[in-house]
Amino acid sequence: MTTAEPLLHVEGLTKHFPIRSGLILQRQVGAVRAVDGLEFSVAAGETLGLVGESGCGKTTTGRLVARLLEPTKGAIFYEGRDIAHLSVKELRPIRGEIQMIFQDPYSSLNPRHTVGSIVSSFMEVQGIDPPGGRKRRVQELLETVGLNPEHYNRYPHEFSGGQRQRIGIARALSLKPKLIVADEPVSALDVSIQAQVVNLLQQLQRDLDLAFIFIAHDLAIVRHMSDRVAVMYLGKIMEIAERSTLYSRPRNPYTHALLSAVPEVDHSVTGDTRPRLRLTGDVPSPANPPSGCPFRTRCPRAQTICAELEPPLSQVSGSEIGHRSACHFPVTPENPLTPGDEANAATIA
Amino acid sequence: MVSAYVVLFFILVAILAPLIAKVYGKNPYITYGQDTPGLLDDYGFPTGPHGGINKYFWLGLEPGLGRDVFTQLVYGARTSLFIAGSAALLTTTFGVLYGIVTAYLGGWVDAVGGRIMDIVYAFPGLLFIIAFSPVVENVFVQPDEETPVWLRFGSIIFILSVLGWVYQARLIRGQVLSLREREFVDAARMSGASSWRIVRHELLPNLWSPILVTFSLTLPALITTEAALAFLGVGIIEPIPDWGRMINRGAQVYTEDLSYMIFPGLALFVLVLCFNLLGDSVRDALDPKST
Repeated sequence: MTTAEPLLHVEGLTKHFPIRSGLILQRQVGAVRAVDGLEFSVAAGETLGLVGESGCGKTTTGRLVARLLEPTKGAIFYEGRDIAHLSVKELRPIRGEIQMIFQDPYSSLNPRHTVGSIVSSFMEVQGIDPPGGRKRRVQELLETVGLNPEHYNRYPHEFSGGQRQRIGIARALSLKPKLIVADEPVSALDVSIQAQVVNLLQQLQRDLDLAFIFIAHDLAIVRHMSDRVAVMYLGKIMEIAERSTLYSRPRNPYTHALLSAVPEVDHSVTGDTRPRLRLTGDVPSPANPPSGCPFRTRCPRAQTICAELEPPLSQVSGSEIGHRSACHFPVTPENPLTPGDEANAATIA
Repeated sequence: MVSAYVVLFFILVAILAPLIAKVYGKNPYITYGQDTPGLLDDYGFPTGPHGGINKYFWLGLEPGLGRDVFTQLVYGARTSLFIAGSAALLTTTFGVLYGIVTAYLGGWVDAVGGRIMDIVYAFPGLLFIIAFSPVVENVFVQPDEETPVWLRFGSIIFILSVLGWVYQARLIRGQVLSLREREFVDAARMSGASSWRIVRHELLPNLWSPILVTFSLTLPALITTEAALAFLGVGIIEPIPDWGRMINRGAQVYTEDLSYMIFPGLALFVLVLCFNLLGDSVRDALDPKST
């Protein structure tokens, strides 16, 4: 990360969805803490990967940054300006700069509009008239994302999932954004198509100097795409680091557990002899998260302090600047993960 | 496709009713049977076979009053289509607006709006109409005055609309509830689009097909309701021609003169059937996948 002001900086980002109950007068009886006090930055041209299990708040985080949701608390600084509570009208100029690629290519394109109308509608809303006309610009964009510009007048149902996702990407690019929130952009696609779309995104990033927030649950794809990776659990960031650091020297037991869950063909071939940390049990309900460290109920290293005090997300000593982890008992060379931890994990569950 | 032509035919007949009557040379108000001796027998039934069908009276004469059946049918199409068409337009417009607003805004608007729909839905519609048509008229008309024709039309259309909009509103509300969760609505919000633009540009194109289908299914339902009201004596009154009232009169005399009930009954049946078939083909035609 550079010392210059980051493109996006998020502080104390929190989203609680109220749980209401009652027949007529609905009172709030609780809240789902989807996202709970996040802090991270994204520099221009950088990709931040967000990984975690289902329900950990990755998607909510993306939608908060894209301001499809309004945060309960916290600040979202985009180029130094807090956009956390701007109105639809005030947001409009910023919409062009922060864009989103959606997960489901079958629901993200309106089936009643042609491709041309879908891609040009963003320019229409923003009142942009590119030289040569909108149609020309749309056709350029279609070409950029690897589609035939003659598909201008076709309807979404005539395309495959991968092609539809490319249409979604063309639409996001139509306003020349600086930051794109990609919410599981390839998880709905066939594996062979995933690689094509990921490569397209990387190509675009190089050509257009885009910053990405890349949300996915597939660790391999995140590793391929990201400069830095943040691991989320129950609405909190557990560990954030440069990609290579996070994948080779994770400090947080949860990160270890996630990486252990990736199947490998043969340990003797890859030379990976790290003890594997099997995750058992379910993620606790975000409506009623555990006290202290959110991971303590499934963590093999958990001790009394973990239930009493929430570990802060702090710089890991002896690692690169920016490698931060939230754990009282981090995995370090002096205190490595042992086969005993593995056994512990099983008994706790 | 045939259904579209039949519906169009009925609409044309209704619009051109005065012209048809002029060419035909009769109108639905003159009591030919009473004016000209020999057309009706001593009991008031048309002489001649099948309700007095001959080259002058194509579909025969009305028993009793002796009015011409053909012009009554032609003008009756006018009454039916005008009342059902206006009421269908009103219910659909209001129902669609109501459905979109409650579903799109959600929250307490939807909660209150939903309860209001439940209440209207639970209303015993036909009873309400029978009980309240005289009340509506008493508000506007003194007991010693005659009820103006426009008021009769107006009150029937009004009552049908007040009770009818919930069906459309429910359908559209359900559609909008599922559509607004789709990601293309989020995408539109990402472009900075206002709620109005999202409704117009993203939701409405997906709603036209259900709107047209319910419209074309509501219309025949209202035609039959209107006829039923006239049959029960709370709809359109004499002397304005009306299919429902013709069927009512036909039912009183069907043992002696079956044909007076058959013609309006057949007209009603064919029109309603064709509207229903048309509704189905409209839905198929509006699906971009089928083209």
